[in-house]
Amino acid sequence: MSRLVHSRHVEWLVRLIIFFVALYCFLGAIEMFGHAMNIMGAGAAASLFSGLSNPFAALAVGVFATVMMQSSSATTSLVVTFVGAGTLTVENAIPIIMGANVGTSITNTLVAVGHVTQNASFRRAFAGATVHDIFNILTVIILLPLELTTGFLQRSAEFLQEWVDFFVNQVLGGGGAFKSPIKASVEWMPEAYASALQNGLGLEGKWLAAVLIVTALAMLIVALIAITKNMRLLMADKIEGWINRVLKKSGLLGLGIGAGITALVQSSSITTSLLIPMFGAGVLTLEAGFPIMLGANIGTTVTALLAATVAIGPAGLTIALVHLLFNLTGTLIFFPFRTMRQIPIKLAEKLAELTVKNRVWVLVYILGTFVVAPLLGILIWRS
Amino acid sequence: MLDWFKSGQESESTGLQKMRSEFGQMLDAGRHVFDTASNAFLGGTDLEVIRKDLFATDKRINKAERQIRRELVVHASIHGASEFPACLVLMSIVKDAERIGDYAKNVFDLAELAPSPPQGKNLERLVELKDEISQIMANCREVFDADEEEQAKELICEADRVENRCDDEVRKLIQDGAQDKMDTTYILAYRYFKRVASHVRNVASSIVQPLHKLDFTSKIVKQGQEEPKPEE
Repeated sequence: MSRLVHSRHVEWLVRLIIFFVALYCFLGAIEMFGHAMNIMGAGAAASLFSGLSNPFAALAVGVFATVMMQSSSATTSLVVTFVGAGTLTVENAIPIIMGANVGTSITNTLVAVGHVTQNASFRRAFAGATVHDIFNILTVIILLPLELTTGFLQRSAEFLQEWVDFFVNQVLGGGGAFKSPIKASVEWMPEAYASALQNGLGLEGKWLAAVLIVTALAMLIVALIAITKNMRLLMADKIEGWINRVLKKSGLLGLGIGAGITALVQSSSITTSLLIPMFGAGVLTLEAGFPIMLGANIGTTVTALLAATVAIGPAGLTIALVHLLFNLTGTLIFFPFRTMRQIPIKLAEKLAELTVKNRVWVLVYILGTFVVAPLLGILIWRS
Repeated sequence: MLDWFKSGQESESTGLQKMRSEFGQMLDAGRHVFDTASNAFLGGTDLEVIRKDLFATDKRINKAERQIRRELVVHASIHGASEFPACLVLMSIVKDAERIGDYAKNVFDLAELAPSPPQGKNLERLVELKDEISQIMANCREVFDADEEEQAKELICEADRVENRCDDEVRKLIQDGAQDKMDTTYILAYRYFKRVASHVRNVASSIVQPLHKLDFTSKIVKQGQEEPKPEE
C-alpha cells in the first residue's frame, strides 16, 4: 500500500514538473514568435495580415484558425504575440479573438456527435454542446457591431492596460519601467536558437524568421497539449468533486467552477467536452451546464493573459484584456437574467430537436458554422 | 502546492472511494430495513411504529442509488476508459442494494396482509433464515470494504445455501397442498428472503467475478461444495 502511495506521489511530482516545463516552453514559444517578427521587420510582418481590416474576414480567420488548431488558446496566444509585436493592430485583432471563441466550440460539438446512435441521449448531448456555440455566436452578433461602432471593448481594455502598467511600474518597478521576470527568463531561448540556426545553417532574414515561426508554432501546440493533458490528469479528482457539486444547481458556483477548471487545464474545450457525456446521460441539465460553459469562456482568457506577460509591447496585454472583457460582457448579457439565459438554451434545444428528426442537419450545422462560413469570410479577405 | 494537488487525488471524499463508501451505507440501510420489516412480519414489532422509519430508509436507499449513478457518469466522463470496468460494476451492484430495500418493503407488506403472524415450524424456519440473511448482509459489508476474495467466495456459498433452503421450503409447501392464505404468505416470505439473499450474493460476486460474469456464481458454489470439510 505504501509503495502504491509512494508511486502515486512520484507520478504527481513528474506530472507537475512536466506541467512547469510545458508552461515554460509555451512562454518560450511566444517569445520566439516575437523574435521572428523582429527579424522579419514590422513592414513585412504586417503585410501577413493585410486585408484583416475587414472585420468579417478577421472573424472568419479566427474561427478557421481555431478549428484547424483545435485550440482557441493557440489562436489567442498568437494574436497576443502579433499585436504585442505591432504586426497586427488591436482593432483588427478583436474580430479574430471573437472568432477564436466561436471556433473553439466545435470540439464539444464533435464529441456530442458520438452520441448520435441514441435519440434521447443525442438530443441532450447535442443541445449541451451547441448551447456553447450559440452563446458564442450570439455574443459575437451583439458585440461585434457594437465594437465596430463604439470601440468600447478596445477602449476599456486600453484603460485597464494603462492601469495595470501604472500599477506594475509603480509597485513592482519602484517608479521606473518594470521588466517582466517571466519575459527575462525566456529571452535566452529564441536568441540561442536563432544564433544556432545562423551559425549552424547560415540562415538569415526571412528564412530565419520562417524557421523560428514554424518552430514556435510547433512548440506552442505541443506545450499546450502537454499542459492540458497533464493538468487534466492531475486535477481529475478535484474536477470530479467540483462538478458533482453543481450537477443539480445552476448559478455562480457553476460559473466559478467552469472558469477554475479551464484556467487550470488551459483549455475550454477540455472543460466543455467533459460535460457532453454528462449532458448525454441526462445527469447534467442545460440550465446547470450553461454557467459552466460560460465560466470556461472566462477561464480560457488566462492563456492569452499569460502570453501577454512575455509579449513585446503593451498592446499584447490590451488584446488579452479584450478577450477577457468580451467574455465577461457576453456573460453579463446572457447569464444574470433568466429570460436572456433561456435564449441560447431554447435555441440549442430547438437545434437538437431538428437534428434528431433529421441527422443531415448535424452535418449542415457543423460544416456551415465552422467550415463554409469562415471559408467564405477568408475568400472575402483574399479578394 | 504539491499538497494542494495531492489533496485532489482520490480519497474517501472523492471519486470511486466516495461512491464505494456511499454504497456501503446503502448496504447498511438495506440490512436495517430488512431486519425491521422481518421483525414486523415475524411478530416482534408494532407496524405503525416502524412504518415511517422503514419507508424513510427505503427512500434514502433509492436516493443513494440515483446519487451514485450520477456520480458514476461524472467519474467515467472525467477519468475515461480506464475507470469504466469499476464504474460498470458499481452501476450493477447498486441496483442489487436498491432491490434489497424493495424486497424488505414486500416483507413488510406481508406483515400487513397476513391474516395472522407466522406460527409453528414456519415461524422457526423464517426466524432462522432471517438471522442468517441478516448476518450475511453484515458480512457482505465487511467483505466489500476489505475487498476480500476468499471471504467473498464463502459468502457466496452461504447465500446459495440460504437460497436453496428457501426453495426447499416453497417446494414443500406446494407439495403438501398449500391452500390457505397463510401458506401463500409463507411462500411469498420464503421467496422474498431468497431474493434478498440472492441480491447480497450478487454484491459479493462483484469482488471475485469478472465484469461479464457478475451475478453468475454457480462455479464458485460448486468449488465451495467440492472443498473437503475441515476435520473437527
